Amino acid sequence: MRTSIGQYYPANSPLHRVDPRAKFVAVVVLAVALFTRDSFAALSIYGAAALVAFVVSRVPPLWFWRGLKPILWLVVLTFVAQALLARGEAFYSLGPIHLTKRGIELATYLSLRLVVLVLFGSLLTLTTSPISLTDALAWLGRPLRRLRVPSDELALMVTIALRFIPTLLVEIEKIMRAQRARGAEFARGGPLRRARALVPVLVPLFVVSFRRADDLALAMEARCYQPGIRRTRLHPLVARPSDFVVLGAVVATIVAASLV
Amino acid sequence: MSLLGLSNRLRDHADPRHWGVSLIAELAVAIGLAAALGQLRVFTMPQGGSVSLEMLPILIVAIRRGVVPGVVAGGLYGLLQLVLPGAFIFHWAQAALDYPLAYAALGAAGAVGVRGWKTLVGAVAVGSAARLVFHFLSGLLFFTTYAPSWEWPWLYALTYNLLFLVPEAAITGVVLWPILKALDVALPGAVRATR
Repeated sequence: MRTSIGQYYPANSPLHRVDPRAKFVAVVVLAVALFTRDSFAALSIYGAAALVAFVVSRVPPLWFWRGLKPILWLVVLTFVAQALLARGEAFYSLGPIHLTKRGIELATYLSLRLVVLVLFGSLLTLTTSPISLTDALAWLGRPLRRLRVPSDELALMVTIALRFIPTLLVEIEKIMRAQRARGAEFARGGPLRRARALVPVLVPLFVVSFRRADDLALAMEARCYQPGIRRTRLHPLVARPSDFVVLGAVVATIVAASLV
Repeated sequence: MSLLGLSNRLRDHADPRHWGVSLIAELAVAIGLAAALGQLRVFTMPQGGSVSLEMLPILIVAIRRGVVPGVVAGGLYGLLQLVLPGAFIFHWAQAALDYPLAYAALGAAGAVGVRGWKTLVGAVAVGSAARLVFHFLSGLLFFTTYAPSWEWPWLYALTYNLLFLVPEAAITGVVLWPILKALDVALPGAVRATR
């Protein structure tokens, strides 16, 4: 069973060193901007920006491919939908299938935009560890404190959850083995039967996990953790000139894409 | 369920600023459990999707602790899913609808006071229906973006989402009761979900 979580690819590229806050803002802004203008020219500028960032990130192409794989069927579906139902004058017809220039153009555009969007997302998650992403979100969520949103506590919950995922996966594996040793079968029968077979795994799993949460709360209190009080950090996030260069490049990309 | 009971359930832990350490720890572990269970595929659907038990911890938090903790745990789990492998994103608005918002909506299950089998089914139905609303909106966005020439996009969006949400809700509902019972016995000091 895999115990690593997230898609993070550890390396020491310039993109890995960029402040997670800058990277998060950059990707969100680019992802929204990508949908504001429908033209091949604008899309090619976003695509070029993604390719440059991809080269700078020094992440092997295979890792990006993993992110693209799940959307491949969507690309196929887009083409099929356009081929079957697009309106306009057909340049090729075979039975009910009418290929129109407009349909093919639209399908190509939608597919390429999807690829660029996934590339932007992958650039963020491949070069930023989930923990630093959480730190970034906590910092960006600070203004929400005025609206009574406890951003630090929320970020702490995600950090603890991330820390516990591998432990819980091992726990599930252990309980399943123990129940198999007692003759339990998990991969037989229909969905409902399988779900019922999991009850002897889920009950101990939840009891152990919630007890662990009690222990965790005790340990936090023993270390004087108090919700609602501003905490200091061992490694505070510090913005550097290179982070502003990245944000400047993002603005330049969006301006260029809106001008072409 | 009286109207007064509903408003009491909505008020329980309604202000996250006053949450104790034990609630924070419980929510954190529940989010971790959801992520771990999300990796465990119970059953693969014929049309390609798969059914997992990731809703289970969020529903348990909502039922045991109330709507707001359920919404927070669900929303944070949804956000976390965006960085875990397997997140499926085709539009920025869809990313928000299908992950943080849809899972946060599961917390609505906490509005139903669970007393037995019937109310439990009600809680699962309320949570799943709230989740369905956001998946349905994202489905509409999907079919209007990627198959703009198809008629009745709402019908495809509704059918597709019902096809995977109904089995997932049914399977989650089947295993929920024994777990709630066991938690009430194992953690006697904590809130009781079953009576």
